[in-house]
Amino acid sequence: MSARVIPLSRIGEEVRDDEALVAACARGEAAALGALFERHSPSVWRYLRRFLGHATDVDDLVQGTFIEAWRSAPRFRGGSSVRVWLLGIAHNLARRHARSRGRRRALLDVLSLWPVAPARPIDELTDGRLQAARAVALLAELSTDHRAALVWVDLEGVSTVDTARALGVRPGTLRRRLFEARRELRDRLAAEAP
Amino acid sequence: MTAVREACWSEHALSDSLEPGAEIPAHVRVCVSCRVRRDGLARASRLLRATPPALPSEAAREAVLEAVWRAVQAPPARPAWSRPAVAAAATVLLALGATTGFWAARPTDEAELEPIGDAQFTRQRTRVGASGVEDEVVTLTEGRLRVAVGDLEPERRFRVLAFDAELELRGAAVEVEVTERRLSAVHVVSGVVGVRRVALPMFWLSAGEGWRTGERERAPVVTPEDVPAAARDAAHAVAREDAPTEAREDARVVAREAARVPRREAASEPAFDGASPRAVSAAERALRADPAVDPAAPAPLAAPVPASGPAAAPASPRPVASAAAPSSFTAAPWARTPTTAPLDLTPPVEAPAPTARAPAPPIDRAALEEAAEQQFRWGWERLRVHDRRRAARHFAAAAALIGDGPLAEDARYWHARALVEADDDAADEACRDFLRRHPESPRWDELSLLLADRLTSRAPDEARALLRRVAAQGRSDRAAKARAALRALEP
Repeated sequence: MSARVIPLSRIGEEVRDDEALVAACARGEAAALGALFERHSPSVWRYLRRFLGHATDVDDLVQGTFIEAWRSAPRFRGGSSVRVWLLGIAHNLARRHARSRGRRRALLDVLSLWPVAPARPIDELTDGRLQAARAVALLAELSTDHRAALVWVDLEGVSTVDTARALGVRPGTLRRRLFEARRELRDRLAAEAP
Repeated sequence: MTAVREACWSEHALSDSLEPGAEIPAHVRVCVSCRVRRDGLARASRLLRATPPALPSEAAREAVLEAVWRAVQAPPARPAWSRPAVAAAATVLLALGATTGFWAARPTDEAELEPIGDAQFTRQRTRVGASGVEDEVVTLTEGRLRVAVGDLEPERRFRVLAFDAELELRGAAVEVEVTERRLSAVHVVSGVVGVRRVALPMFWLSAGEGWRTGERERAPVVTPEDVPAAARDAAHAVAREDAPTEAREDARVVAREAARVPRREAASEPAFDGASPRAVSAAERALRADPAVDPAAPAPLAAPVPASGPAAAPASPRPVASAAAPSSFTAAPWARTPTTAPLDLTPPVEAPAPTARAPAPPIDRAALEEAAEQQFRWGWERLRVHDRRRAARHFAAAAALIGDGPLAEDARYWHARALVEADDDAADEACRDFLRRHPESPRWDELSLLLADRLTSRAPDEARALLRRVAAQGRSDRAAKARAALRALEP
């Protein structure tokens, strides 16, 4: 049999949207969960990495997020986008996880977040890169509530209304946290500027 | 009379104005003080966005997916009281079904299933959203299943799902095997079947072709005669020295594959690839020209996205030779005709194994356009999840397949944009390639500015030349930007 380019038919066009995939998960179609994972795991991973401030346990939490999504799929009502729903699950797991960690472990993680000493002389690094590294370190020092607000809205680009709903706070509270987080980062970056 | 000037905003209000996607308020646009304070609040987030955490490797993601799979396949613990209740409910339902003919009323029409041994599967038909598409899904969790599907109406779909893959059938007959909920083998008896595996592009198998886990996954080879001149030219173009890195890698993979054919024939293996001597010699020339490619190197486990080379084809797992196909499943006579006769799944007494290799029919422009459109869509899917490098590969493949026309122009533009956004080393060449090929494109000045921005420090002369050309285009915003950039570049 000759292997050849086969004319693609129209059936390939029908890519299911996120809501349909969640509905399929609710019906027990494991392949739909695979597709959801393929589509959203980078976003979930990035969120958890930023929210926790370290890579330890992120894989476990990503795994937990999608397992929980599979179990919760029948309860998904479409009140928010699927991405926001998944980030909400990830956030709840991460908060629970962070609470259960010992204080000493958390301190070690924060310390390990500081950028590794550059191999090249410091003056060869651009100012932008240094400042970005400082910003990453400072983000981890924000309080959990402030960090969550900043990561959801500024880094993940979720609207304040959706974020407030997902985090279970009033929009006004979220906006205040957001302002305080931005102001703190700005002030501390300015204070540490060379 | 003096115009009333709006009071400056508080920092809290300025922070509120940083809502994602919101426009800059009119006052902030004109008030320098507010603008500076607002930028200050947003600066840290800008820095953080510019340094996203590196995503885990494909292997790490695969391991997580595997763990998810293991977790969801474990049956949930049920309370002890539920078992008698479930048994009682099942008895009632069975009794009800037997008396009302419920089971007899289940739709059987164009699709027939035949489990082999103790295959475990479920079958479900749903109507999807407002589009009214009827989606029939067979979820196979274990074992082998023969499926024959007639020519479906356009608004109908028929799919066979495993945990990690799905098959799309329409006017086709296929034998599927799933082991531990994962797709382990496919053999197509008639028609064409689309196979989509998680994290991989869809590929297509036609009658007589098959695929089995563990087989080396390699790109099938197309004879040069199969590819129209335009696509062939485009394919040669991406294999050039100045082509983007990924496209050249794809071309090398295809070249390596083609170069393997003579050895396979010498070992009396079935030559199903159909590579002609011309394809082989072209591939060997490409290999000689590129010392980075070792013809004896093993094929990569996962073939990349459709390549373009002297002998190009969409990436797909290697089809299993028909003679080795495990099935004696009969070809379905209805696969190419309207379904009026009842389906016959009985294996024939003397089922002729489809061993003869039919000559590949010429591929028309419409088929290439469809393939290119599919690549373009995949590119966009990757862009949406910020997987820019893989998106760029799909766009490059789309451009190479179609060669010229609006779709090729779009694909080359997005190829360049994706690489620029990924800050890939190949981005400069991709931009130059677009500017060379599409000087009349409305996106010419935009990409020129992007390229000039990248070249400002490395190749200031080239950057100035680009900016001058954009600046000469009258009074557009981009021309103004180019003039401002030129002034900034003046020594």
